Amino acid sequence: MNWWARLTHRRQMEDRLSAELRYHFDRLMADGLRAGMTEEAARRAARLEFGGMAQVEEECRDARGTMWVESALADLRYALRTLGHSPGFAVAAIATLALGIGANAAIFSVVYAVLLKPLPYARPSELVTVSSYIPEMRDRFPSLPVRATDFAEFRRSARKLAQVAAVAPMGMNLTGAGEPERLFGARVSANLFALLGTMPERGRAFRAEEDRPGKDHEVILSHDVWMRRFGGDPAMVGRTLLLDGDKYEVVGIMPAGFLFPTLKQLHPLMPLPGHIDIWKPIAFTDDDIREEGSWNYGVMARLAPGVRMAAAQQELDAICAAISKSLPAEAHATLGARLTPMSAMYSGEMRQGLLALLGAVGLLLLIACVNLANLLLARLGSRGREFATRSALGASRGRLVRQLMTECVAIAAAGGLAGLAISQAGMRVLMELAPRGLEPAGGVSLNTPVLWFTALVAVATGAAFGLIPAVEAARGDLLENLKEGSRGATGGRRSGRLRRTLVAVEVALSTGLLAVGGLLLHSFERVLGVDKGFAVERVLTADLALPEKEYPGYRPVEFVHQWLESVRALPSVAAAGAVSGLPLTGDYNTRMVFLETDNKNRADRPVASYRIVTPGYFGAMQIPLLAGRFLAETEPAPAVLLSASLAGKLWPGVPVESVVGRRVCFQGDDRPKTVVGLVKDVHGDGLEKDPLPTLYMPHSRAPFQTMFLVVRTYGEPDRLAPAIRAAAWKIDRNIPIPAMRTMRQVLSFTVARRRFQMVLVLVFAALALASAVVGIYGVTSYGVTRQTQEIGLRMALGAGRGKVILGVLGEGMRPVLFGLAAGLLAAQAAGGLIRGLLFGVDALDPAALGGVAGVLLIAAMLACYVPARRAAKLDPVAALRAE
Amino acid sequence: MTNPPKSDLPQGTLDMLILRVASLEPIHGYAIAQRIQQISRDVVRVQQGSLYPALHRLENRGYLSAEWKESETGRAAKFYRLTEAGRAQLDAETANWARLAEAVGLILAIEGGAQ
Repeated sequence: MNWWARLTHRRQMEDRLSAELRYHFDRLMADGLRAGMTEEAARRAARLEFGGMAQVEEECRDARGTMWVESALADLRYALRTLGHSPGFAVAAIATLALGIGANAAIFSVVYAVLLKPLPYARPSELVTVSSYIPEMRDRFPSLPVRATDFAEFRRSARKLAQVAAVAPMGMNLTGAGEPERLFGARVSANLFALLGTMPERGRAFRAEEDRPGKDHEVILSHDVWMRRFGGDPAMVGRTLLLDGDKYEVVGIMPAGFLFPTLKQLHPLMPLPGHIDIWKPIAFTDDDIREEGSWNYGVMARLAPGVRMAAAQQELDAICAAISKSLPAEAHATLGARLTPMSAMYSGEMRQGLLALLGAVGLLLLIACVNLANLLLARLGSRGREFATRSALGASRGRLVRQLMTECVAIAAAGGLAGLAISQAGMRVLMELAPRGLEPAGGVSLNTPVLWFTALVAVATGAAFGLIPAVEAARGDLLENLKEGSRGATGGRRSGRLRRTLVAVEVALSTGLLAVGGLLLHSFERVLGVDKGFAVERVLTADLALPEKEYPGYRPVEFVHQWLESVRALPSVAAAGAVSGLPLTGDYNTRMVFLETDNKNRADRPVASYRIVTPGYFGAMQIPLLAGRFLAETEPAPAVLLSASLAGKLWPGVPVESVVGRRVCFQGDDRPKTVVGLVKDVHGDGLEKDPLPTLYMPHSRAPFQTMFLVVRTYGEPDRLAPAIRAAAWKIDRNIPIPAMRTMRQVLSFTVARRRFQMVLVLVFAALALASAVVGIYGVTSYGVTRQTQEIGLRMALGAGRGKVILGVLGEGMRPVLFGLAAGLLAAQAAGGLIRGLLFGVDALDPAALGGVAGVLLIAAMLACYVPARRAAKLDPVAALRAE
Repeated sequence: MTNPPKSDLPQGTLDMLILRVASLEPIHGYAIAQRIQQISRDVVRVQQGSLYPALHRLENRGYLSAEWKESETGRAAKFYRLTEAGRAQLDAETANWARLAEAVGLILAIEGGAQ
């Protein structure tokens, strides 16, 4: 019978063995009866003769050849039985591990979804994005979107790119079917869907001939908007929609979950919306192609089969060099372009933060391991006699180590399973808490790689925390334990030292994790403390997008004016104005600003954010005026307002008062404009970047269809939302107001990722601290128990309670101090690794590190104080007798 | 009832004796014990605690094969039979034993040794 059959036919084997021995026994009994014994006597004699039936059976089982599987199973059964005997330990161990493994699995799921999972496109490794740059302006603009003219040239000349497609953000007002709605989407080259390798699930992609001005009245809808707005109408393809007052035919519907870049993913300077619901052909006009300053387009491309990115980059460099040559020499500017793998576009900014989180949970698990190793060592103390006995009965050291390791792996496996459950719950919470718009593309799910990762982590963990105690258990003179065991002082001094070392390690690791948390917390505080340049509270904003067809020329000015008038008339409105781009949300519209006297081809003038404002905007935002005056309702002559830093760059060293009255021009508009005033700088793109110099133009002279209404209120700003919406609809019932946000919400969104990251790290750090405290408490408490007699003796000899407490505290805190010192050193290294995540603090930030040291010391003191107090309360007489 | 003095079997000899007894005909455990005791005129008494582990060990090594069939009492018993490998092993052990016994005899026959 082979070992497999032995395992699978275990029951049958056992029955046969019993039957065989039973036969022998019965024959012995029969012999006795034949010799004239009574039945009772015969049974007794047979029993005597036969010996222990169970023992014989056991030896027979052994004789079958101790197959490793069988003994592993036996080890496992024994391990489970042992753990069952001490459910407290088992639960504590499994819970510790489950938390550690669960946190790791959850974070890994996100890391996998964001960084590792191949993009859901055909042959994703061939996909790249293209951005351009002007070498002479890289200090001000490290990277730019692509101009239509360059895109056309890339498409024409690049042989190593199989396909090239352009993308531009778009918003269109859907009217004529229920409440007006603003649909956000993208204008794309007709070949974009073929390039990505994802075709509409219904209908078709755009045709090449539809990618021309005048022929481009087709749209493709997202699965989402098809379901949400049109109820999944099966006859959707072919239907006509009224968008911005024009008729468009729906030619296709993309599949659910189709991944398309949003927000700043395609390029930081491209204002793609947060969700894409609609696509239309990009249909470049000849004017688009001729326009030289339109750094407006995102470009995606697919490498030709077998072409490496470096080769394609070389070709692109050559094409850019050729374009540069054709530029007028007096421009003093050349062109460069860069390919980036498309995967980097999606993971982009999240990469470092995620890796930091993965590091943090890894550390947490390591701490859990050390803690468990410590717990196991403590348990060995009480199991010393068990091991001594087993060793005396012939178990080899290897066998003992294996038995202990089996227990650890059993704990780890249970912890892994529980951890997986926790990670699922944790992931849901994570996604719930994750700031909107930051969810990983394509979602996070439990999948094979995550399962493998979890299994691997669980096994590695089991081995990691089991090895030290197992080796410790098997070393030294086991039989000593039989003698010493009666005093319950197994492992004695050595084990105590080992446990203190482990505590030091644990404290060091926790310090590192706490330090990272502290640095992130301090950074967050610094970010919030940044002078934003405007007042956040009690400001409500409303997005407005007027269709170009119905609001040509100066009509938007009229609409905004009317709207503002009726909003200002509302009770509890303190001030109201409008702006073309809200602070903190991004500097999408930028221009180079020149002096009146400049040659307009020079490339060394400052680049400024270009914002259009109505009167009342600065009052509503409470952006202070530094010199001159605000813009008036109607400006008789061309007038602009500059931010202080822009004035400083144009006229270094000139006092603000003298700047008023000077004149500037900007790219795309050669008419000089008079500076009527200077205002304070405002953070245009988040809080962490220095404010970009800003130039403000009056709306009355630069009509714009896309504006944001800004309303300062006396009361709760949210309550005004319906009235503001109603005021707009009173003027035009067909104008959607897609979003109304308070500036507090805008700010909150700006720091959402940082806050999310910080909260997670702090939670992990808190768990680590809790682990360390448990470890410190355990060791100190064990020390007190072991030294009961000694303490009793000292007290009997006159040592006061205070002295006893100090003694225990000193003993307990020693490893803590060592660990803290090592941890602070390690924290420096960790701080260096996460430098990119810090803001306004450096890796050696004394506030953060000092705070961490303080928190840790206090927690450790408390953990030591509890056993110390117990020691001080000992009755010396009872303690001396304690055995 | 007086038993003749029992002798301890030298290490490893039990296996050889079992193989020898089983070489005559298929035989079950009880009979093996009986047979060894009878043939040795009650000098060698095999403990069940050693017999059955030995049988299982030999079976596991492939020297014995086993089969359940009706015994002389009418009850089913497990009969062991010597395999080819078992016969070879028995021959080897027998030869080895003979050599060893002779050698031991020679040593004990030294004259003028032990008084």
